Amino acid sequence: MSTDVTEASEETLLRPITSLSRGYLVALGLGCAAIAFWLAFYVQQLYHGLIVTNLGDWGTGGGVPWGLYIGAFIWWVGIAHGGIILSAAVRLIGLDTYQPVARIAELLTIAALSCAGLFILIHVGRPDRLVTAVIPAWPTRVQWSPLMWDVTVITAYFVLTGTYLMMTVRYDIHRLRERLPDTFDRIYDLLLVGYSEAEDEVVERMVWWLAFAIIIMAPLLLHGGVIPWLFAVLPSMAGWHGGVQGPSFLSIALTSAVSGIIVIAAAFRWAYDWKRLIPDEIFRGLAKWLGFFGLMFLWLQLQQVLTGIFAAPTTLQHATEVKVSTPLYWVAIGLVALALVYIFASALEPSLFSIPRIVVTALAVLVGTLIEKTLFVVEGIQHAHFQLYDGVPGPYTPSLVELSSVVGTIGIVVLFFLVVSKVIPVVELHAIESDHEEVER
Amino acid sequence: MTGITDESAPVTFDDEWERRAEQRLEETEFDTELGLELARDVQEVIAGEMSECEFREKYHDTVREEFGEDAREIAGLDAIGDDTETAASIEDRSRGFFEDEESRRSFVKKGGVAAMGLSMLLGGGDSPGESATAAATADDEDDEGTRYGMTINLNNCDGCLACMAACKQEHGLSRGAHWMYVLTYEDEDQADENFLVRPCQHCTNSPCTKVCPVGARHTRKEDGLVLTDYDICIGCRYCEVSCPYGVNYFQWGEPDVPDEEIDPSHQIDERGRWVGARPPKGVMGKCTFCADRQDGQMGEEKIGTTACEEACSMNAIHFGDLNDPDSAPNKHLEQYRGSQQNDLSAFPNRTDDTVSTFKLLEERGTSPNIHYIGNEPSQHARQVPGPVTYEEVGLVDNRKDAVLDDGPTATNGGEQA
Amino acid sequence: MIPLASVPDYMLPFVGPGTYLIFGIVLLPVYLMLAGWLLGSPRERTPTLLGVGYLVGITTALWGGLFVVTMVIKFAFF
Repeated sequence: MSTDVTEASEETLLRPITSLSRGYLVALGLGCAAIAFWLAFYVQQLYHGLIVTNLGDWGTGGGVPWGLYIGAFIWWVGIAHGGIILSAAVRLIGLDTYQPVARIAELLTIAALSCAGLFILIHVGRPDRLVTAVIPAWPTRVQWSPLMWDVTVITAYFVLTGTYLMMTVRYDIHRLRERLPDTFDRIYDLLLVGYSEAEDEVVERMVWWLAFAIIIMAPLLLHGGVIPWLFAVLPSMAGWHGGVQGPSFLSIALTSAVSGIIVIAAAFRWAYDWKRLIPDEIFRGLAKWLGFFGLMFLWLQLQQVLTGIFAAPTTLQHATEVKVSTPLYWVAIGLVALALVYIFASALEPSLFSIPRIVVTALAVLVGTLIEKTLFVVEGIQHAHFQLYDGVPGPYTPSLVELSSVVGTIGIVVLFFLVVSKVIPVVELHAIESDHEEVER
Repeated sequence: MTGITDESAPVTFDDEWERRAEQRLEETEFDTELGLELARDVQEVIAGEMSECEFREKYHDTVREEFGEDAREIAGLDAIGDDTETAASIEDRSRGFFEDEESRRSFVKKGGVAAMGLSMLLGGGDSPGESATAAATADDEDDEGTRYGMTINLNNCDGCLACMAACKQEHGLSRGAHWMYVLTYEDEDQADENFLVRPCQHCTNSPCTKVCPVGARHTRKEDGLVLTDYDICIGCRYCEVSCPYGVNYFQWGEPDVPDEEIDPSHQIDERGRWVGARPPKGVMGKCTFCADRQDGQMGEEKIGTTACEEACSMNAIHFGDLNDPDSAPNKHLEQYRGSQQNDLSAFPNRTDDTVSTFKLLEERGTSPNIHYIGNEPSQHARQVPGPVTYEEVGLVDNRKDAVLDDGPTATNGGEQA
Repeated sequence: MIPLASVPDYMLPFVGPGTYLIFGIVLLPVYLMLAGWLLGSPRERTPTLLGVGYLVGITTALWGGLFVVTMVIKFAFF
């Protein structure tokens, strides 16, 4: 069953490119302000060093060396998974319902992965060495270091998604060319280099394979793989080790990914009056997926809490007891649980469903998942196996410097969408083509 | 493939063997000719036409050139120093190692030397644990080469913190960066005053060297020291979160001791890498087992010592090569055991001595190289104030409270070492 | 026993677990994808070359861009 959006016209599709409203400029201003706010703090950090944060050495040092920067890094990588989930749904399983939001989701992947990479730059003590030390070391260090695995797979995911976007946008640009503004002619020529209509069929097959590669790699081996393995393979922190981290991280990623898509799709729908292009059915469907992934997340938290509380080895028992006695943990769990309650209620009683409400739900889930991930990182370090030091656990609350980076990266994503939506259509042309006009495989 | 690396079967150096050896050697990156020449001369050693010492002397320089080291150790025999020993004295010692000429010949006949030589070539010149001549040492782990470590006798420690002050002084450490740390703790069922002396453990199986994304944190092959290359480190702090012991100290802001006050010879090691003294801003540092001392930068007499060991007046810290049964750590353990003998008169089956030893967090799988004498802290042990406070010796304890929370102002014109 | 996890350094001929993990498992979908591109039908060279070009080009642009940013940081602050 696919939603028929073919009533929407090409003109509707191109509204973001052809129109310019005051609201757009306000959003642009806010995005730039958020980035400027962050940069003011970041420059301080570059000048003085990481001493401007609330981080410190664990052990005698009485602090925590990994904090919000790493929590936010994981969070953004999680949000980035929306792209492949949607594209895989559409291309591999044929869930055409979601086609109107597929490209938005892919663009979110690019933006979110960029923010994740930025957090690594922000987090390290010597950002000037990030490329000059990493690239030459890659051949030897990829053999051992989970961080180097991370760098490899995030690069791969970014590149595969970017290639997917570049290849699928050609069909749209070619067919919509007359309607597109002349200002960007050079860009369109570049995007269309070597294009001929004969390639459409081949490209369809190629992007099928791209989607296939990403759907195996991204959920199973990135956010359910190298990201949790950063923590799960270490002998030092009681709350980190174990095979459950892979599935647990993945469940969070999918939950925040769907939330991210809901928020951005709703924003575009509202801004450009796209009720027909992105109909209610899409949000109802996304809400159900959010409910399912949220349920998985809570279920996997249950696994960890139970096995850490019942009759666990001392350090794990202690770390889990700390986890469940942290009020902020229950705020995070509560936000996701409430989201679940609302989603199931509106599935049973459809009149309860509305797009503003599901957007609020999605935002709540995003807040909750950021909190949970940061707590995982910080409390894991605070309750290491070795508890002898007076300085363990070391206290941690994110500093303004660190909080500003979350604001700044949100600003970057907003800016990214504002700029990109002015150049290329953010909804695939395929989405509004009438039945079976799509190229067959 | 038998005959070449099978240690128990006798080796026949015929054409067939030579062909296979040549084949195997071609696959390595090392000099095939050298390998064959070595193997041929081994025949002479076995036949008694060349002494082992002549054999080792003949190729010592070439092997050093080829592999960067001459790791052909016959257990019980020190590596040939360049000028220190004559062939005769080495010969004497090798004879002393074997009970009689017969056993020596039969040992050699088993192709042990040949196997060792070839396995070394094929293994790439660095083969911990592969030595065909492994013999019992005070430590049953890695038997090849130097493996620096310590025996720390917690029963002798009195918590004076002199070692901590000396370490800070020697390496120009910032406040709160306790490369060496001594803490007093209380534990269930232990009424005694308990101390734990905690430098970096320089683990053989260190998680920190595995996780470093850029290879800045590495193990120095020559002697097993775990060091940080301050030119490569990107300051990601992954080594810090992976270390179960909490020995890492990141340079969060400008160091207390400015660059001008640090002697460059203490910073660059014998390989030309900047691994010594305190790290610069944005980079990780930790105890280096005084690598610059081991490399001779502080004079010949300081090789094999550390600042903390030197400062300790209670005979608690003993640094040296754990693979050498005559080194300070091994000798101290031996002597201490000798002084704590058990009374076997009534029950002869008791252990010889009453000495308790342990390694810290051994179950974490890190193979640490600090051997402690004393009581192991339990899960419930917690740090308490000691007989000497950190402030009394000019140190701050909790770095976050005392230093980092002041932010950038903490390091502008901060305390000098 | 293969001393994989207990050998801290890169040691001939054994490589670290990451080698098998990344090149044997994680990149497997990418190998399959490339095979699908090159072996499937209908087949046309231009889009395939384009695809590979994008893979290489975007990787270069990503790391090249990051390099520029790190150099700016280096000269401004370090």
